[in-house]
Amino acid sequence: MPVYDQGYRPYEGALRTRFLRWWPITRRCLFTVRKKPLAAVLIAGGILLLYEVILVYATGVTERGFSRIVNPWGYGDGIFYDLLTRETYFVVLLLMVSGAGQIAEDVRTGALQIYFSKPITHADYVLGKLGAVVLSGCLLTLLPGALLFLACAAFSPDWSFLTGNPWLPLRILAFSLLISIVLGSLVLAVSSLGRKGRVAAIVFGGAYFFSMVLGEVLPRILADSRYEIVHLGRCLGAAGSTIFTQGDFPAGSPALAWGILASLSLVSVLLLARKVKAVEVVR
Amino acid sequence: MTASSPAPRPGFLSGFAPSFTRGLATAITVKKGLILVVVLAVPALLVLAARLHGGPRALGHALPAVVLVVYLQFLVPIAGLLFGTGVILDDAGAGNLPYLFTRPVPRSAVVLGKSLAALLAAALCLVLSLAVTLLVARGARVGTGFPGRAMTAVLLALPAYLAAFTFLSVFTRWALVAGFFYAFGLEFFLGMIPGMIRKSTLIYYARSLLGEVSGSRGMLRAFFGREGPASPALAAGVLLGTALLGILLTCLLVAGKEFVSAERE
Amino acid sequence: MSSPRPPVIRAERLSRWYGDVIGLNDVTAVVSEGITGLVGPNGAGKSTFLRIVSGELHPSGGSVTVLGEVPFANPRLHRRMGYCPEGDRFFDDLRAEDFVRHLLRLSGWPRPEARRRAREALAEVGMDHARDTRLRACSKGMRQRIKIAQALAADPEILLLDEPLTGLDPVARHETIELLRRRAERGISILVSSHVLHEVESLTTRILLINRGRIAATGEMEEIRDLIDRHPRRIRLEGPEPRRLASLLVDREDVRSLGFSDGALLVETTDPEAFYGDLPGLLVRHGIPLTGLSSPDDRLQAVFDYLVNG
Repeated sequence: MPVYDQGYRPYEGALRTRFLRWWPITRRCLFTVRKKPLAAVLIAGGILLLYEVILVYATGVTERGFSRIVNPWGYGDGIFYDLLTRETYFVVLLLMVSGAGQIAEDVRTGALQIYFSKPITHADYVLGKLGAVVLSGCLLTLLPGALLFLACAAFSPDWSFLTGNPWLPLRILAFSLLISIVLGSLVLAVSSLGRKGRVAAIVFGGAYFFSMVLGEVLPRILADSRYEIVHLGRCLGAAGSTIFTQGDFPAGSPALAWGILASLSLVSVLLLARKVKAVEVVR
Repeated sequence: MTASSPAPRPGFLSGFAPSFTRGLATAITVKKGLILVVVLAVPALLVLAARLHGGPRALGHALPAVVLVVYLQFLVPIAGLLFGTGVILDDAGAGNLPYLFTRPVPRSAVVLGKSLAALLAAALCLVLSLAVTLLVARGARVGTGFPGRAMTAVLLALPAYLAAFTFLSVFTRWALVAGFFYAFGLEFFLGMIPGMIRKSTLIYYARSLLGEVSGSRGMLRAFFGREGPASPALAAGVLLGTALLGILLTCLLVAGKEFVSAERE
Repeated sequence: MSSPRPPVIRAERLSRWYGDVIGLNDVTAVVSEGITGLVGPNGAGKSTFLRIVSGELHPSGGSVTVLGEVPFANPRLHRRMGYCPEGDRFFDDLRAEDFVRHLLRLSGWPRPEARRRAREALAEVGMDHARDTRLRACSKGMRQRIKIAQALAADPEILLLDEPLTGLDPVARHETIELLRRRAERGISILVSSHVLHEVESLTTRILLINRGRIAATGEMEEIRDLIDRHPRRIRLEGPEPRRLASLLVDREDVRSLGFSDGALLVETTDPEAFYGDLPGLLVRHGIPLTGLSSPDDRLQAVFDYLVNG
């Protein structure tokens, strides 16, 4: 009777499955986010900001007359930049609800092993999760931005708003993606470090707000406003200012901000690549 | 198995003492401890940076800002969140509640034991960190009473936040996010609105214990407005009252509440 | 004839909802001293029943008493009760002995006594070698036995065990069954749930059959078997000509009664197998169309078949 090798053997065949293998993971995650009432509350809160901005816009339009509709207070870009930077706060809260448990809970419940028993790669898994958090983030950035764009176009008495701001939709998209990708990859990296979604949420939220605190205290202590950039929100704002050509930042800050955000995202992705494993060693 | 002694008639203390001991043992795990060490060292490093960068004069501006913004507006609420929501949610998430809540002791004894253990652990961490920060800042021109006021403010604000967030966690698994929204959104927002509304926040009373701190922008914006700070006695009373009320309501609610796992809901 | 055993658990019109989902539906049952098996397929409501009886959940409707007391958050009752929940995750960070000892300490036992009892309970379930193993590093079977140990450690008067044999290998299963029998002989009452009938049969002959949140049958195993075998089966036949169909069936020996309800024919037969076998031929021969066929009694039989045949 032959004795067969009973050890694990890697599958060496070619992987031929659907093109977007990560999409079912994203869809599944978005489905679970949809079932969380708090996520709906936060999204509603984020959309309320839009209402406030529209009110400001409408008031401005009324005071200054329709003839100055394009760029009355730098509205062409400024109002969108302002809206998206303020939405960052809600994105952080939403990602605490919808992103912090994404990987930690999979590790805790053993879902990770089930995922990797399917014909998907680690990259597919990470992309799937990233897709879910980025799309969640876009709900509070791209969606309000697009709604505001439509509102501005609707309030405009002629085509001048659309013809005067041809690149605005792309700018909204770019800044929305920047916010969502940076914060999304960070929350996933934190989530991959442990087995408890609650702790991951505290670490992620704590890190963001701690950076806010440092961004307040450091410039004061060191008498240099450039240190504001340690606040992740300000950092995103500085990077976004190059997209919208807005914002009041010290010289060199936007370039530094891009560097910080790129490094942060890279570290997050590396951490994800290192931590997302199908096997867990129990001690 | 031989039954050598009769079954005990456990009282409140039988539930409190083991819960307190275990609460202390699990309050600071290795991973959590490492994060805490890093975070709690930051204020001391900030003060050290101020000393090296600007000397004692700069230190006089930096220390109140660090105590106010780093401790009272960040570390205290976050410690309250981390330790407070963990009192119930950690055990709920780990599947321990069916064992804990079918013991022959009042549920309130278990919750009180765990809450006090969490408070002690959090207070130890913060007091140690603040003591080191004050030590690094020795010689700063902040007035003789400032270190004592800072320590009092931290030690009274912590139980208030911790009890409030523990209470919140009885209602919802999302107490954490709600707590973040309160501490880093609502309190900050209400603090900027003129009028009496800011007196409904915990941070108002915590800051009142510290006295006026100069500052004109961002989180250091003048906080008290025309109303001014609350008297120290009132501030201490409100913070202590919040802590006591929070823990009392938690104990009362837990006694009658069932904890159905999320899958069943 | 032995005198009836006094009730240990009494449930009256007990119901429990989880949002829109009903877990228990108007359950009235009495559990007496000794071992009782709570049997039913997955999702039948066994765990919900045990969670209410243990005082972990409130009933949404109706009432339940255990040893004459309302169980929810009742320390006086919990002093007399041992409970082994269904969940497989608990106190991950603790070692086996520390886990049992911690729960004994919470039950009021002094430290040395708690340690002694924890060790004895672990030895009794064959887990003394795993005393220092962290629960997260234990296998499912080990955790199962450690869970049983914590329920036994305080010498309770009543033991509630939710699927205690799940995950155990055959030897451990046999040992656990023997252990529970020994405990029952010492006078404690045990309510044990399972979805495998023969597991429960090896423990007790007294069962509470539960399905879809309702008590389907209760009593001795043999009685239930006989009841199902002897019980005439009701069959509901729907079609445009119920009266003509009735006239054809009235002479059959296995048909005990015929009736009409909402335009359908209700047949009570003592030999459902023969009835079902003959029915198609009869309908074809006489050209009688049939639009619906169902049996209100099938559910009980199906549950029982499922449980008996696995």
